[in-house]
Amino acid sequence: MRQLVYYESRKHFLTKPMFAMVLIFFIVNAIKIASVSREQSPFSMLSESYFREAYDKLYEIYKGELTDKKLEDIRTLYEPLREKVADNTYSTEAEEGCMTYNSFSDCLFLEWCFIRDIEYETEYENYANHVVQNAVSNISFFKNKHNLYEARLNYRIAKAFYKRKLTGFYNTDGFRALLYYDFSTIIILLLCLYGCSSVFIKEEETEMHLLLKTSVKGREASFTAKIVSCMIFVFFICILFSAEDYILFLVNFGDMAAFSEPLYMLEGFKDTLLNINLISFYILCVVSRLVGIYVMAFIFMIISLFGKNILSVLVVNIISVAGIIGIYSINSNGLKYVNPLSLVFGRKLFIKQEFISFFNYPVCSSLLPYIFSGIILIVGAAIMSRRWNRG
Amino acid sequence: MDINRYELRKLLLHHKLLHLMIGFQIIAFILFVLNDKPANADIENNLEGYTYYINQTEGEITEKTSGFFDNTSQNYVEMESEFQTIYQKVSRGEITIDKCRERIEELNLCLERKKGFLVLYEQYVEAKENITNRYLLNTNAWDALLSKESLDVPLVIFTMIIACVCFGVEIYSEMDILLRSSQRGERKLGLFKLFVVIMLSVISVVLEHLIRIAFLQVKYGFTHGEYPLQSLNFFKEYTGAVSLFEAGLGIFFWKVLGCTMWGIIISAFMVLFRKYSFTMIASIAGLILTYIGISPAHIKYCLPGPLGALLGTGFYKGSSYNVSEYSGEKIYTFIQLSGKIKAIILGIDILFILMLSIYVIYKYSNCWSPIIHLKKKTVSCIAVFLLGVSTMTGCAREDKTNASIFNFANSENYETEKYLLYDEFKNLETYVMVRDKNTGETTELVKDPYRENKEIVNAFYADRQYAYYLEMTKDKEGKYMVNEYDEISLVRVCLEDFSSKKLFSCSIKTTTGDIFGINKHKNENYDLLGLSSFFVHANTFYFMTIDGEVYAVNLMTGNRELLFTCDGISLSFCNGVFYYTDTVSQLVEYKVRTGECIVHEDIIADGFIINENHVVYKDRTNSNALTCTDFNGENKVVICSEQVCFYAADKTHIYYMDTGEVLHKIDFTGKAGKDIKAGLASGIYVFDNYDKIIICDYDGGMTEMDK
Repeated sequence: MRQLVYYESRKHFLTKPMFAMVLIFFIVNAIKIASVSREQSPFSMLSESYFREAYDKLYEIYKGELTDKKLEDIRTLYEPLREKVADNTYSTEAEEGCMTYNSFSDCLFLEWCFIRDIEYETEYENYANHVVQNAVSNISFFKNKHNLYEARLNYRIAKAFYKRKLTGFYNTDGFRALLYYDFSTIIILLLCLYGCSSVFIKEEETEMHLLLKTSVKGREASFTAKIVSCMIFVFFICILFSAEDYILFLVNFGDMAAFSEPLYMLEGFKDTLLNINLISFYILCVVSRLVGIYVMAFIFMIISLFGKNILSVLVVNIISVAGIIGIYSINSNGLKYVNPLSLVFGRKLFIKQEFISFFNYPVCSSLLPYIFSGIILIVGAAIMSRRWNRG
Repeated sequence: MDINRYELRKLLLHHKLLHLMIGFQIIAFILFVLNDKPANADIENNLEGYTYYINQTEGEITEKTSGFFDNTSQNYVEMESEFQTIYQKVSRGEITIDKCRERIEELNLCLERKKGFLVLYEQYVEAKENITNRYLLNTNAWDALLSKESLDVPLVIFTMIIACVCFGVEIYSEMDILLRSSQRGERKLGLFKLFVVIMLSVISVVLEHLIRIAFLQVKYGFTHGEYPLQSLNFFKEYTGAVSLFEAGLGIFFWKVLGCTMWGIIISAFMVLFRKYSFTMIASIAGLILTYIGISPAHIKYCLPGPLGALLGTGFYKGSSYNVSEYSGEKIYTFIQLSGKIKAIILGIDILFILMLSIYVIYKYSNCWSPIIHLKKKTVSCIAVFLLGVSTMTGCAREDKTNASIFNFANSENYETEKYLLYDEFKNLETYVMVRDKNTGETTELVKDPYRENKEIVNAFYADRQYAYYLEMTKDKEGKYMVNEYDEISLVRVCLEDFSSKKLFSCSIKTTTGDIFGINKHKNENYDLLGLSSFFVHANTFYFMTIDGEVYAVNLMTGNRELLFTCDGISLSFCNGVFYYTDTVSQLVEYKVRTGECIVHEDIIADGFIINENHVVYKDRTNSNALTCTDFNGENKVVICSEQVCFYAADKTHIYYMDTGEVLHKIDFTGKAGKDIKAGLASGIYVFDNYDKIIICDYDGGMTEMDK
């Protein structure tokens, strides 16, 4: 079997054009990451390097655990500047003894690069407490109303938000850029489109499929081998590009020290129920992307099994990808749970977590796409194996 | 020549390129029609008034135009003030009611055009920034044709198929070797095939454009091609003298060039790689990745290749930039391409086309093999699937049993069998409270634990079983950018067990695009931010904006339409019929199902409420006296002839407060009930089946009193 999988992989995926494509896309992705990092970093648009230098100097001091002393320090640094700017008494000329250009730019620099983050972090504990309070008062309210589902849901929320606190101060720009980065996904989709479209069509086109099925391992075994090789290919490609994303963002931002901080450190994920750290969340995103891409690859394979020649298969595949992307973009409320692309862009499922009632138990609706993907995979496999064994 | 005709026949009929071409044109047209929304919806909604004024002001902004605008707006101010006082004159006996009616009719005609005038005025103010280049005209048709910077995906895919079929079929069956060895296959065949590719791509892009232009001509109508391009908002920063028609032609020319180049590139890839899959994926990847990946946008146009030409619009776009939030530096998002650069790009493109053509002819051949057959079975499968999808989307059942009455004036309080719902003002914020009628226990309606992180819209609605509220969330993606509102959601709370469900949500960003942030366009849902009240009936969400526009949104499909425009003061809804006061305060009845309007000329109201049989309103023809009548305008009863602060009604009585601190209770025939000492009050909540009145004072305190 292992041999068979290897042969299939060599036939479809370990080819020269594929290597060339992966290599080119790898470089393209690297270029894109560099340009994204430049856009997302607060220093990119500044021609003067002293912002960067000042930031590095201050960041060295304040990074790590936020102690009361650090908080007081930065406030004593910031408050006089803010008052000065609020008075409209600042000058537009360069000043001596400033961190950046003059007091005005100092104030903006501190506000954007430190104060906003620090304020978010210090206020988060309060916010989480509010959520817990709201949820706890809801529990008793809903229990009185005999609404078990809402009571359980609020219990879950209260439990998830209980004793949430942000203690560390780290630069999260790198993680933010990484989690909101979608370009590599389209590259992976293109590679899958190229690789998986031809999986079943090669024998069909050369009329060898009849011959193949007369051989000992021509039926179930080679069918399984094709699917397994495809799975390995998707897995490999996804991991490769995800690793590239992570490493290159690390290199470009120079700092991913926030990896062990909780997910809600990013303001966009303020309301998430997940109590995991940033790196685990990235892994979760990678896994869900993997599942989503695999479902897409499966759709390509099904079309390739039913096609007569490679041209028609490719055309139908390209149109179906365009269609699926189009449907996903319409942002229709119900359809997004069926669409495998909602797994591919997994973070959106976790930013706004919604629940549905299942026998009065709250079930996270971000599980639904996984269930639908499972259904597509099982039904798809059944249809494919029937078709393969009949032909 | 005979052989060439045969070759053409083979490609068009045997390989079904002709069928594909027709199919593509139909699909592209359908997609275009589905996606086409007027760039300025206000123009379409107020077309009559707008056309009336644009006909008088079209063209360059001269002193005369400015004078016209000043005069007209002055006129409107006067008209409005006349309108405000005309009924007072009638009640003072200065003019007769007939004369007043005549004058009102004239005023009504003008005031109906007012919204159209305001839309044009906005355009005028924008145009004034650049008087020499910005002319006034109805821009919708030109905007729909030109003001888009998006890739025409169906065209790209179709051109790719043409080139693949023209060159690929023989290559794929390895017959090109044979062809190449024939006498004709030496050069002529390659040349002819290339000619067919170019011809078909040009025909398809030309045809697609002509169909679009015809459609837009019918839908909006193109006018004044000779006006400068800068008249369109999208191109306002462009520096250079070019007319709309020339620019349209120029963009069209670039698209034809781009499409030709795209076809030739595919042909070249095909003869080079001799593989369908690699050719298609490599070319698509090259196009899409540069399209999504490259920013700032002007670089796309400078690259040699078909992308810039396929997009086209950028060659006429002016520079634009954002200003950095904290360094104040300009960050260019687009830099205008100068004439010299355009000429160089054109030169490179043509050189590119020539080189590729020579390469293709040099490398090439002919023969045939079977191509895609859509079997009947597949077609029927697709038909069944589509049928299934269409049944899933369109089966909203209408709920007729629900006969609740919505009154805008009472939209702060509702009553259900068990609960009272009303706004309560405390700690400088407004909360929606739910009070149990029997136990008197109150609780907040919004139970969402995350409510501190959301913005709850200051309007709510309740019918028999459910209460509805709206919440908005903010987008926090960019840290160094201003966060704008992201999504608005309609939440339904079941009043049995207080479980909540999100019924509908839509994006309210200023622009929306697809997942990769491309194909951006103006978001029409943006004006949900200016919502002043709403209600839900039979799976439709109706809302009124501050300007008095009333929209209906289908909760299943998200489709919405403008029903009518009212004066924004009063609106009622009962059993599928809207009641509103129009621009001259006449009560109008609007039937949702038929769209029919009935004007009640007898009822001139400055705010009204309705219940099942009566209309209670402030009569403008009688010094705003509080009056009660039935829907035919008969049996008028003057309830109070003095100024009334506020009023409300339940099934049997009307409650009002005049300038004193006493609340008067009176029934519909004018028989006085009792007076209630209420003290200083800012509003009252009266409920049909609850024997107490809630009186709000100015500090947010509430007191209950017996009816």
